[in-house]
Amino acid sequence: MTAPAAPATAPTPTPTPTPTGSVPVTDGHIVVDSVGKDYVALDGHVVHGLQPVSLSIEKGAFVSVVGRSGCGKSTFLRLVAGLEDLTTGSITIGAERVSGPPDSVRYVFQNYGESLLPWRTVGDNVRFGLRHGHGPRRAHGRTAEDQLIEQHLAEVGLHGTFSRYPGELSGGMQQRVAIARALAASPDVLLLDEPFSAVDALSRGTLQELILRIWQERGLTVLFVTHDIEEALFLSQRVIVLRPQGAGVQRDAAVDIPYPRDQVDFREDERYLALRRDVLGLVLQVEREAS
Amino acid sequence: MTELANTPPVARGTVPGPRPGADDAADLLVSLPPSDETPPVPLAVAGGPAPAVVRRSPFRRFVRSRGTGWTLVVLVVIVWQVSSFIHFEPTISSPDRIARTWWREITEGQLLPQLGRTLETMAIGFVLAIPIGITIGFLMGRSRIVWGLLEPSVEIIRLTPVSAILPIFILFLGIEQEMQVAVFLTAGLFPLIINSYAGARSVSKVLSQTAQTYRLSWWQTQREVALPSAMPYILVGARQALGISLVLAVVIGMLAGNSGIGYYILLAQQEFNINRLLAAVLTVALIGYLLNALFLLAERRISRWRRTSIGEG
Ligand SMILES: Nc1ncnc2c1ncn2[C@@H]1O[C@H](COP(=O)(O)OP(=O)(O)OP(=O)(O)O)[C@@H](O)[C@H]1O
Ligand SMILES: [Mg+2]
Repeated sequence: MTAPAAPATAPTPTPTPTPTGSVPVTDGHIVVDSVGKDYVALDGHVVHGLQPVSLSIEKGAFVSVVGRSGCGKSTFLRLVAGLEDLTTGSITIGAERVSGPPDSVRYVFQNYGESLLPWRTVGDNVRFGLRHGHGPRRAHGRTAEDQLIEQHLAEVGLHGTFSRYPGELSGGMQQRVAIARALAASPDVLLLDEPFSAVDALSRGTLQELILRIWQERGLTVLFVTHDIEEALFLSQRVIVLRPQGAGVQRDAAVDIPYPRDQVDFREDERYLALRRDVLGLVLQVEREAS
Repeated sequence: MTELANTPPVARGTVPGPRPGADDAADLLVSLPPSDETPPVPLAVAGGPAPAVVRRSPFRRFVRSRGTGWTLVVLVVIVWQVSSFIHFEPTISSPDRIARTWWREITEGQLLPQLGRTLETMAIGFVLAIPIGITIGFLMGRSRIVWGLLEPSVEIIRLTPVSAILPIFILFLGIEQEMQVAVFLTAGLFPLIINSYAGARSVSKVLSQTAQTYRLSWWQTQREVALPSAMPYILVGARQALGISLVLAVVIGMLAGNSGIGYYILLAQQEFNINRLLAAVLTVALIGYLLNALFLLAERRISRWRRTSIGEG
């Protein structure tokens, strides 16, 4: 209740660009042009992972993708991350056409626990991100690098975990390590696949605020996948609803509510409530039609 | 019970079994070309029971530890000794006689030199087998081309018993150290190849994709992701290779019949020198136990992190 209500007239904020002036801003503008993906299942059947989708996501935007399980959310992220070949269409990030993993994109996987290197300490996992990131933030000398890693860990609230192993951490903490590692690579675009689905409600709120803070401080373009419509609305400037079974975009809704958003107040905001009713209704209707 | 469950099924005891557990991984090799599927974890790795977290009475702790096992060993020796006082049976001798012979053989006899020669040969073979076996197995798991190239030969040679290959080696290489090194090398190679292969195949899809998104080169991916991922398997392979080498260490001296601990044992047997025979056998057992213990120690150091991610305290 203490948080001041945001002025209703405030425009959508333009996130501050990365403070490090030396960073060549590769631009996080993403253009998705009728992108589709078919899989051939082991039994020979063709499965539609995602039917042609066209989108334009401007640099520095926070966009969420929601939809029921199997609707192609992860497929979409994998395509943007250049991990899979497109069946149709093309994806452009900045001036570069995606064919293979772009240097400016980092992906925090749905099963983040498995994506950490369990034989490396938390600090060395972040070092992995640093060493395999794009150039400018690379530190000279081991101590300087260690300090940088400590900073990255502190940024996600993981003070003093440098020399612990991922297996010794809770799921939520592992998720933070995965995020810190991705950030250490100083990407322009951050892809997050259901990052908080395995986290309890309280930690989830903290993590949501963490992501929003990082997004604003770094001026990242964030593509956030979740199955939780309320979470999507709270976080993003724009929510994209996918139809079930890879059938493409059903709804592309702008969330014109200014930041900073307060966890409690936001959920009483009338614009939020209207949007939620709208989107939920749509999803449920499709659900009913499907069954 | 839990302790038994925790002890790995792989050559852990002093008497090395014939390639225990190798078959699990071997089956993978027979049936699977490199694919994206993760093979099941073939073998339990790392030894030792988990340290008890709960405080227990000294008695219960003793019962749950290996102390009971060692007590049993000591008891058997004592009973043996006492019964030999009551009624001496020359065919099984007695612990004190064996111990005296053992000491004499160690200090002035042929036991140590012969053992040393065998161990040296074995070490050379083992040290050669490690890099060769790991490289072949790992690359077979990581590259379809290498797999296609080597899988048939590996399969054919792997399934040929070393005892059948031995006469060929003797024919071409003679009976000296050269031939013996070749035997140790050949026998040690296959558990290493098979387990390294299984390890290289076990790299999870998520980890491979992580390497991809961080844009690691092929070489970086192998070094930073695949090899560490495969390491627990590779260590199992190395321990199996050690087990086979120990068996061969004795057998080879007997078959070649000119030197080494096997030859020493053979002679003692032919001369009906029970004390020397048993002293030699016990020494071999001891060496096996020590090598294995050493290996477990190294293994635990190398894969310390594993304790954090498997179901072991
Ligand atoms: N490698 C693959 N081979 C075959 N089909 C696949 C493959 N990956 C995904 N699919 C199919 O593509 C569709 C979309 O899958 P995707 O993983 O993108 O769903 P999702 O929206 O992320 O679901 P969830 O919310 O459960 O994570 C599903 O029908 C799935 O079966
Ligand atoms: Mg998914």
